[in-house]
Amino acid sequence: MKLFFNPNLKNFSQEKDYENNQIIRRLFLVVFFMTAIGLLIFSKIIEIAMLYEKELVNSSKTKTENNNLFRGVIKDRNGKILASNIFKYKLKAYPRLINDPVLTSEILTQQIPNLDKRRIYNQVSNKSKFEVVILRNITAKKAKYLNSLGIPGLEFFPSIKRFYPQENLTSHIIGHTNKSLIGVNGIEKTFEKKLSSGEDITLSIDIRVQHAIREELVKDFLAFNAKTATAILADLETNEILSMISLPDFNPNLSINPSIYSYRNTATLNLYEMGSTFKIFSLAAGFEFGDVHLNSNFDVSKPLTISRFTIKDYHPQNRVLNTKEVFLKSSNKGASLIALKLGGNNLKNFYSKLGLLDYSSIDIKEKAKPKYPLKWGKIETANLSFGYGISITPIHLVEATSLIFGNFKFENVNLELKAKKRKDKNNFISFTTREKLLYLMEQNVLYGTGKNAFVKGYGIGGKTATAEKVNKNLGGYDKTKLVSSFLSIFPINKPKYICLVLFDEPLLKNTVGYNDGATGGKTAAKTTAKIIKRIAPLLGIEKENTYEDLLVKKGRKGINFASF
Amino acid sequence: MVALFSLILTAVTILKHELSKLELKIQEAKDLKSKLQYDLSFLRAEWEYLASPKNIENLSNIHLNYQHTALLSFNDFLKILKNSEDLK
Repeated sequence: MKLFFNPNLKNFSQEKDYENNQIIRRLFLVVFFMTAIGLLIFSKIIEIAMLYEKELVNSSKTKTENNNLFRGVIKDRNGKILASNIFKYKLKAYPRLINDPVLTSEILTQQIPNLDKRRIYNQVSNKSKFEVVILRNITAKKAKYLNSLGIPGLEFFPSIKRFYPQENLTSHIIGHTNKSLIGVNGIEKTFEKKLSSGEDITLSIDIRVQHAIREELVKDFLAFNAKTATAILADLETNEILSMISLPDFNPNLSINPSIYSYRNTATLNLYEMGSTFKIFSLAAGFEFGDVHLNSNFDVSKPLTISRFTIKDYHPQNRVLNTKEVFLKSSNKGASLIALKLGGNNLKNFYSKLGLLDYSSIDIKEKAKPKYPLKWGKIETANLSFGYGISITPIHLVEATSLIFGNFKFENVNLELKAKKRKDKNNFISFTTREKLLYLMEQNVLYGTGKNAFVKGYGIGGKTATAEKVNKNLGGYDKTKLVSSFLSIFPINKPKYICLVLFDEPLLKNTVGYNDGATGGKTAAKTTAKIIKRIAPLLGIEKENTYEDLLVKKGRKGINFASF
Repeated sequence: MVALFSLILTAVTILKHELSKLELKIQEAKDLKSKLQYDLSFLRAEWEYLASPKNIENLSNIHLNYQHTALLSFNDFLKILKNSEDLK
């Protein structure tokens, strides 16, 4: 090196020394370049090796993740599982590998109940087929046992199945998946992306409340022999749905036949002319924009005729009614006069702001768009004031009511439980209007058409509705086919929950063939009372007891607090 | 230089071998974890079915003489206690 880098090297005079020097120089250059190339190759080898290792690690991780790629679980607000995944096994037989078909079919029919011996024999003895399916949906335990019997020519194939432990209870909310585990209805379809990537979904539903409401609703659904029944319970403080039931329902664990009627979620898909519950909205608009007060008078003594149509009352009073009486007697003529005083455009704008003219904001795919007249003339305005001429879904009604009575403003009504929500004060209507409406609803349960919804110890406010259905064959309305509902708010002194109960074509006993009398007050209000009595303890609502209720009787051994 | 090069390559090969052995162990552990997860999922689903409100209500109806009740406020609770004390 010293020689190579010596600056005096140029001064060498002897030719031999110069040649040697040149050789050494070239040699050093070659060594230098070879080392550089070697180092380059070495570094590349290391780099490739490291990258390869990295890729291996990544690929194995992906593989494991894919193995774990279970469809996400659906839970209720308390973590109870509503939809989960389990392994089921398919039993296949290879006839060409089975030497004794008689013995094989004998053992199988002994071990598996309800198996047709002849069918199994025919299947396992058919040598022309490579494989045949003996049975599907075998549990892991059973498959393990059958496998341990060591029957030749049989094989088990595992497959992941969706399992709904609550069966019918949440059928319409959760929906179901197809054989490829893709959501085709309800939450399964709405949150398909999240669920299929393994993410869990927590719903706002409370399964205990859902069960209690469903049980009471089923009893009356059968008692009233109704076509369908719907119940929705929403929390006013969070705008979350605590319970949503649609009857008839179905068991999503059984094979799905989409043509069956009961798969339809009546709460979000069925459009109804709701009837008198709309008076809450028309009165709210009247109080806010129409210079209507609780003591404003409306003359309903004469028939109200607009164009060629005459508006009638279900409970005719034929006198002057104030606003309170219009609400309590559920006067269609009174509500029409309020709406006409308000004006068609104002009423339309108010309904539009309530979301009654568009799809509901609920986070579920199955939704229907309301039907309403394009032209809002005088007769349309009058009809729309008491819920005729406009068809909405039950969830629309709950959403609009929540907008009026909720303390906070929310963008939408939710089925998915969200951790934190921005809570802005709701100023949709004034405080005084809200108080007036709550007063009217409370009075309606105490003295009006909603008396049957009264439950001792619980402050309930509500509005009944009885609407005749449109006769599609003859035109006009059919008096024998009613939609009866009751919309309630409780506790009325501090509103927290909205409950809607609706029966489609209920039939009261002793009125066979003619539904007159199956009003909202006689059907849905009664059911609401049973529901509230049952769910109030679950919701943490305390019963208001009188002094007499709390007296302990003499001679009674011990105190049974459950009896209070 | 060549010796150093050979030494490093040998070390890399040994490390790689050790790494692949560890990888295999990790994979085995992950497979076991998956299996246990599947089993747990099945047991949880089964438990949810057994503990569904419908089944719990049926059980309580049979064994506990179940009856619906209402919530008492704390003040009412104290009043009842006071009333029962007064009776004594």
